[in-house]
Amino acid sequence: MRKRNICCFWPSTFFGIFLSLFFFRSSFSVAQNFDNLRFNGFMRSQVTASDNKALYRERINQTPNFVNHNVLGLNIATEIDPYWRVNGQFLAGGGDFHFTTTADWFFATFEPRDWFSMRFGKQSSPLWLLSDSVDIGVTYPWVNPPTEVYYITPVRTYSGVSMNFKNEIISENYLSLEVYAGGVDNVFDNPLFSEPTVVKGDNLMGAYLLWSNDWLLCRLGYLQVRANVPNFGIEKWPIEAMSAGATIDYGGWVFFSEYAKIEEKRSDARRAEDALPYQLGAGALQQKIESEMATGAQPSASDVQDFIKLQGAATLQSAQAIGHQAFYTTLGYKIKKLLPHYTYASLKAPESQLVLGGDQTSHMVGIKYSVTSQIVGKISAQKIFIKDGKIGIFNRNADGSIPEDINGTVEVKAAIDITF
Amino acid sequence: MFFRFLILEFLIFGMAHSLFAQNGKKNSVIVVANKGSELTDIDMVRLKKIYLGKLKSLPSGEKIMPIDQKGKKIRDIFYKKVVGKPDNEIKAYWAKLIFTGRGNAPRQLQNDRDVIDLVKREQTAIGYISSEHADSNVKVIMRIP
Repeated sequence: MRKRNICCFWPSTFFGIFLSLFFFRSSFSVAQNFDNLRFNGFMRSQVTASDNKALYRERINQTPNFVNHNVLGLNIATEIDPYWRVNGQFLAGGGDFHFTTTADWFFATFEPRDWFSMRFGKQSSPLWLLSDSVDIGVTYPWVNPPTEVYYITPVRTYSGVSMNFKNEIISENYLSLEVYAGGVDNVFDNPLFSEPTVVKGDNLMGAYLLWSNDWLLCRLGYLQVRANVPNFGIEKWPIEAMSAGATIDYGGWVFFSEYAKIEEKRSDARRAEDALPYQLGAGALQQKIESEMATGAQPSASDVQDFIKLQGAATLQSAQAIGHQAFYTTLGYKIKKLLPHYTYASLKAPESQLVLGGDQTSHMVGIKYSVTSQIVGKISAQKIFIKDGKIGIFNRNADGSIPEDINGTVEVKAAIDITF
Repeated sequence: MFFRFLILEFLIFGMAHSLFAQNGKKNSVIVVANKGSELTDIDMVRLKKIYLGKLKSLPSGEKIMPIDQKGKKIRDIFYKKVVGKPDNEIKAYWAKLIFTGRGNAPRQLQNDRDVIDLVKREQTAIGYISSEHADSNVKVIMRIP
């Protein structure tokens, strides 16, 4: 029901927005100021398709997809006094991560000094280098940031408190440390399930260190959380993530790179304990099915299905299900308004490959074209390589098997990003 | 004969155009502050930091209120000379800060007149305008050639 609403909602919404923009405004402006209240917005219209019927992450397959990643954001900011400001952002869009209108984040900032600020409320997650700005297409070269890193985890926001310390260490070189703590409560669509998947996390603690100047940005990040994802049988799993990333924008050359690692830290004893109920359930069902077959009777389909599910759950619980390492590097060169670029990305996963996806590598070429300072057009083509028996970040078939012929899949994307 | 006059016309047009362009260039950009502001002058590095949101307070601790302009021509001149980046990169820089809630871009006003009016009213405001609109009600703290 939800998806049908989206399909009807989006074409009319975008049509309405475009009409408004073209007929009622002669030009885009960065912000509309109403005394102390400011409104800014961004919009992305995107189409994706691949040459394979198997479903890739972000719902990409050979059927062109106009719905996912279409995003409209409205940002509201106000300064209460010189030290306090409040920012909020509403998102409307289709896709795995946000399929309806939602308050993306909303928080208050206290900034008593230039070198120190604190934020309270629901904030965008700074898990990886660009995690907090994946929807803001004007700020990076790709149509979407590399999937292997930025779409491997579904967490977009956290609720809690963050403290940021920033100082100029040498002339125009800034060192920034941010520490944050709180909890996660995100919902996203997953084609494997009929219900949206709920990701909850408590005991969230993280930090990142940033060194930046006019042309260079280096970042080290760390996070730990106790995660609950009921759809995947994940209950209070301790998860750790770390990353190291950098961007360079110098002399027309543009470079982005990041290494990201995420793993669950359950002990072997804990894994055995978690798997036991599923193993016992699967064992009991197996005995029942075998005894029915011994008498010549046909085992019930629901028993067989339940057995497969329990066996899968036992495997998930007993193995290291999350232990992923992702990497990408991008090189581009600006030629006036054009930015052609190339990206290599890879993802390594543990053998079980049941939660976040499996091994893959990819090569991507793309072009970003800055139509104006607030409108960019982008296209890209990516070839994905997957070893035999691995799934990469394709979705499994309904019966849990790995889709055939996914190695060498080519996907293409095109998008228009606007800020206003 | 006709072609000689035509060539002459082109030459005159060319000279007039270049003279006009030179006259246009004489109008530099000036940075203005409130008359009661503690700022008496400012250097390029500090100005750049203010307009990138990296320097937000005066030495006294008071918050600076930088004022931007919507006019593309004066914006381009100001940002190329002060920050060294074109308008699209400045917009992308602020987009990242605004849409992650990490900063608010300088408030944008329509023209020089609006900037002067606001700077006159707000003690901590600074703005940039074309030198041809210099006003005795505000203090010039920098001239950008």
